[in-house]
Amino acid sequence: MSVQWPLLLFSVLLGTSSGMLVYLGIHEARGRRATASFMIALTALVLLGVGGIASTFHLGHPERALHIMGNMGSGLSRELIGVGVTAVVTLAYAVCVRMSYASAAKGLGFCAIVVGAVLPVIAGSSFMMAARPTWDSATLPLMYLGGGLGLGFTLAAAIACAKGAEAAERAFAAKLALAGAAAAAVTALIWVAWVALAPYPDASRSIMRLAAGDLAALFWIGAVALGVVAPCVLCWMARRADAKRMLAYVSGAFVCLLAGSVALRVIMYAVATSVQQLIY
Amino acid sequence: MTRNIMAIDLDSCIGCHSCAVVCKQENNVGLGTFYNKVLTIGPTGTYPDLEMYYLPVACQHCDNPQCVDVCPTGASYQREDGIVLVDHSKCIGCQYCVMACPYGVRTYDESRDKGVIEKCTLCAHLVDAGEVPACVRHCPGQARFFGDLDDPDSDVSKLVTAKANHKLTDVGNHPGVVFCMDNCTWIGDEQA
Repeated sequence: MSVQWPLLLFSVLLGTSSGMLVYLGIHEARGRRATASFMIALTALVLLGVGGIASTFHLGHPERALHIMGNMGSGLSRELIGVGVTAVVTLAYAVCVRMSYASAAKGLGFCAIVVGAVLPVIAGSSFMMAARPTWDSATLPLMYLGGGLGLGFTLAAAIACAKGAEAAERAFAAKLALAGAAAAAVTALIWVAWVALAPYPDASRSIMRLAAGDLAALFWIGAVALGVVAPCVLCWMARRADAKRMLAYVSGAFVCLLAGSVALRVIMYAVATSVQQLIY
Repeated sequence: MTRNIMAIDLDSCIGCHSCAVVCKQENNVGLGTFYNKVLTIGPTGTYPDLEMYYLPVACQHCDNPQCVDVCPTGASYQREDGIVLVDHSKCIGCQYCVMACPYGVRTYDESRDKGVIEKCTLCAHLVDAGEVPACVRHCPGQARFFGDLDDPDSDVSKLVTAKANHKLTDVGNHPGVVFCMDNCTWIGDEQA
């Protein structure tokens, strides 16, 4: 299947936004609001909006988008509802932070953890189709979730760092960023393992395409080096760095994760051949 | 209950592509778009024991159509008689049905009715008028049959009973089209 760039962009931005929400929620749950939490929430909202707009470029008739509620069993319908709920929670949280409604913000922080963890899973599960063996596994939404946590945690940590977070908060943010990068790495590798084990094996979706075939450069450089190794190393180094270096490390980790996520999704589309490609 | 299906006698198919041509005429299918295509399977085996057959493919009008399940708008739907159709007035062109179809027989049409999904309709307009799909009527090899599988006297039932039955790969969608063939080895999939 050719790369569906609007959907790819949507999933990456949606994941980043969700990860940032979870980051904010974890801080609220600890009882210590993250530095620049308003800005982080606002950034998450903007990313979600931009991703949503990007996704409409995939549609032949975006003006009929309201019809999307016509089949609530469809993954796309669930995704739309998920995006709406997430946007509302994010906006409400940002308002509460801005208006200094501490208890409401804390409550919404818990909601943020839930919607931030659920939305990437909904988005990923909408691609689980029996016709595409490499997609038809829970490892795909898991990969979406892990990637989102990595992207969101590193970007939120970078924003907090840039906005003058204290040393203790920076140390915790670096740990979160490392956990996010590790989640992205592990879930990416689990999905790649699924590609190797998926039913209806075929050369077009074989693990050899990734390991030593036409996708090898994209896989080893993009998905592994940039998406797995570099973010983990950079976030590990950020744990004991001063503010300036930590900002550089977590920002670098975010950029690497971004490149890795795009590479992994390009691979995801490339190996998404159907069980019998007869006419198209 | 009526269960209209297509049954194709592959032993009688001569690979003339008439079905593909008449389908385009009947349904005004645009350039580069196909509801129906004839594939050549083989030759397989070792000389002199070679085999080859023709496989006409189109929407299988599955019993459990995945394209209908994933369609967010209800544009892809299945009629009571089993025919799977696309309501172009509801289609938003999200292409999830294209992804969910195991056979690559749906396409996103940018040429004629821009931005919607096109596929075989089993000539529902002719079926509703009491006729058979154009590909059935015009098949010179009389390889195609359409009718009620639940009626034991229908041509479809007689063919399905008389020959070995094959279907395309079933990933839970339960394809409806039955391929009947005794003279060659069916390649790729389980017996129906």
